Amino acid sequence: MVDVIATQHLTIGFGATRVVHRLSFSIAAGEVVALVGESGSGKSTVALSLMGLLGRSASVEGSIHLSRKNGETCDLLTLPERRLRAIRGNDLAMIFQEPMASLDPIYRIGAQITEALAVHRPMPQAALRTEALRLLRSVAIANPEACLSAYPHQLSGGQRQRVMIAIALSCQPRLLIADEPTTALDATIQAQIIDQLRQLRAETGMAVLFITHDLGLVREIADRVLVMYAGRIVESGPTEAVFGAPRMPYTAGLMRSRPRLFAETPVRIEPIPGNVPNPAHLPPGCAFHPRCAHSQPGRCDSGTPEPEACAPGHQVCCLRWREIVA
Amino acid sequence: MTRRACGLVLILAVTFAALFAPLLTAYAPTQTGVFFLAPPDAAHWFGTDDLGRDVLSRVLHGGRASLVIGVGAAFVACVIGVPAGLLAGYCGGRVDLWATQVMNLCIALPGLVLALLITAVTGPSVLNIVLILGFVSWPRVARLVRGQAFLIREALFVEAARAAGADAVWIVPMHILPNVAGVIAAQFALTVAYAIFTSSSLSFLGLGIPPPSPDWGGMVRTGLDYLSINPAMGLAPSAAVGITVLGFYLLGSGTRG
Amino acid sequence: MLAILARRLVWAIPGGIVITALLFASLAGLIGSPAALMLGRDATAQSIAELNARLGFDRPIATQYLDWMGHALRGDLGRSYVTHQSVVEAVLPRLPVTLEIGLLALVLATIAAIVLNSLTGARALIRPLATLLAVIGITLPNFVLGLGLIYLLCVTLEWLPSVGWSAWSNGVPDHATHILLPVLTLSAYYYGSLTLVFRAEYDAVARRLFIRAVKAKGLSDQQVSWRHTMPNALLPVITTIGLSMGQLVGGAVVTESLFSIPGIGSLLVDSILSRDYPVVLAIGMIVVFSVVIANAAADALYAAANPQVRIR
Repeated sequence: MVDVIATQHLTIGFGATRVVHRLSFSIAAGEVVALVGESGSGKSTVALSLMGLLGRSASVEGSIHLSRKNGETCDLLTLPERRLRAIRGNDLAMIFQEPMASLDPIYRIGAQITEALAVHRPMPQAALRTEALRLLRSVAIANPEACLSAYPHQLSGGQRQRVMIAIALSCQPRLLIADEPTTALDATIQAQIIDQLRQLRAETGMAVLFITHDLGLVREIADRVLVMYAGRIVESGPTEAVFGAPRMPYTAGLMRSRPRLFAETPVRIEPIPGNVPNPAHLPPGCAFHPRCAHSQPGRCDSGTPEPEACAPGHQVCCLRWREIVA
Repeated sequence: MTRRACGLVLILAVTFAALFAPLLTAYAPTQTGVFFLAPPDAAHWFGTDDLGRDVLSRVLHGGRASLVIGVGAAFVACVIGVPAGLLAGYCGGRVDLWATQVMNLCIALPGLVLALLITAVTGPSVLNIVLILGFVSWPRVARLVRGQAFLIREALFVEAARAAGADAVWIVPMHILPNVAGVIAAQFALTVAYAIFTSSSLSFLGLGIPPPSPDWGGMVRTGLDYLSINPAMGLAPSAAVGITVLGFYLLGSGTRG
Repeated sequence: MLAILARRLVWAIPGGIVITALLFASLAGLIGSPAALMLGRDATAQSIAELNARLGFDRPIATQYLDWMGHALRGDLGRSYVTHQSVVEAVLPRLPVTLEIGLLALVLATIAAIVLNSLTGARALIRPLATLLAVIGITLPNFVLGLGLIYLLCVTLEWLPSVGWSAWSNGVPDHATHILLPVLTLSAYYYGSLTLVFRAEYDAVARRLFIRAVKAKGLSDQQVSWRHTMPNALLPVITTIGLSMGQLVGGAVVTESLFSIPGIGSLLVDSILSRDYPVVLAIGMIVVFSVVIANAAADALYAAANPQVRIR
């Protein structure tokens, strides 16, 4: 399968502080990849860098190759801003964590849905309206006509996130970046939105980069998982493999710290001790070693682990993964 | 910080010139001469006016009245505005609601026109102008102090003082006033700028301190008629007003930021 | 929009009556007696009392106010003490002149403040320029700025005719060259204060999350600014436009006086200097009413432009 997007050694810094280190990953067409990690691990920074929305204060190195709808492949980091704009909202679309704050309060929903279309694919007003209605139906908004002429403050949080998804889908992007799209929503609404995304993926065949800290969601929606810690991918692989046999102690810790409502036997929640380190003062060696139960003095605190394949398609960054398995 | 420094330099320069005006020029500001409307030369740097008086000397001496009026008016405005603002901000509720309405109304009214009307009745002495401009500018001071007092009232340390049994008589002078002092200082400088701005406009319109005392606005008015003969007659006092207002404005706006 | 404006104006009427009554009372109170204003500071107490009695100023303030209002509503603002001309006839022909200059300055200042601060290209160049202009506008009194412009453009460069007024009837070019400097002068202060308020709002809106979401759609920076940041920042500024109306009136008085323009501002100054109480009172009332109406209009505009208020 063709990779829609592939990053090589993506490194992002703000001033002297590096928050993302040599990140390399790829997403194939139609694939749902989850980027998982605690808050502060650099997930959202990665998402914004793919969109080219980090702002001037950020320095981004490495490469981000995108294969566009028109067949060409380009490195987003070397494109001029003008060509980047033709890609944003068109080949790449993003939905955000805060649906309540992500719509412009002074425009009607209809105008906001058709805005990206009008920029990337100019068409007559009537056609734009038809398209907006179709999009609202595709995200299962109850009363699409009424919604078109509504203002954002008249919609609920769940409805607003559906509108955001409709906006993101308007130009049929190759890749949808969903940055914690359900975190701010109620649990029932959350399930509906996830269902909707899964269904839309099946219908459109777009790839999805799903950013979350919620492992339950990952298992439901993702084909593949990237686990991020302190700006690095520490474990990656097919969802079943990573969940079935986590190799990196951090991933295993994340799993144990997750509340399981429907477990057969009561399971203790074991939070990982400590906090995500400040990117300005990363511990030497493996960044996770101060919080790791398996860390070995003289080894984990000096050598930086490189990704190693522990099974086909399953990579891990841990100096001791073989010993821990054994 | 640089803004503030620029403002201070301008203010110091103007104050210095006004204070030592007799030492800086060879002529008294009211001393008439035989050369009328002479263009600038080595003897009279800004030339002479329609009565043969040295323009430079009049500009330098004119700074005294302007500075006194500006600082005096700002002082009056603070004496009225600070307590009013503190009261409204600290009491909150109905008192605040009414006080805010009154302040907004006063700010919406044209201060210059108000000052014109009052000056026409009371007569344009320095003291009158100070009182009038202070009266016209207090609502701005009060509104700002109110906003700050309102914020600080809700702050945790005031909450803590209140929980410890302190009442308004203690809290307002001990906790709120010191915290709004910076804002008041900044607003003081801005009010000086506004007062000099307005008082010079008043005297330009013919309601300044009475002649023959030198007075920037009035000098510009006369200078306007002789703009093609001795431009410095109008331009020099204009520049003096501009520099002085700019200095206080920079000081005030720089202190706030 | 019109319905809202009508409703606000209906609400503004009692407010206007209260304010004019206050103005009437405070004018009378401040002045003590109109006769004192008319006779000057050297008048004796007796002559003041006599004149007050003759003109009916010894009656209670409320009676005088109702009397004045009653006449005013019938189109009678009294007669000038100086020219003995009817006040309406003195004021009415001057009103359009002031309105024209005031409105042009208002429009110019508003557009300049909004456009200069919403441009995204060459921002490193335009922003400092916009700030410089704003500081000039705020710190230079109208007569200083006007004098500088006259000296530069009329005396030195001789690009424009000198001060004075030329009516529309003298032809558009002549009218335009005479109105240019007054409008520029008058707009400066307004531009400055508007710039400070608008820019603070603009920068606050630019930091909001939906701006990032709009950028993600692929809009250019300038499109984001025109369509989203600027309109959202404009909303709270509308109220400011109404509130600083008073400043504009003060500026108009000085500007008209400087350029010898026959508007109501210069008439007000002349009447104050010649102690022409009926004219002063009439213009004062007109000014207060326009400030009240302008504020009501700004409120209505705000309500009409803000969907969160409109729907309720």
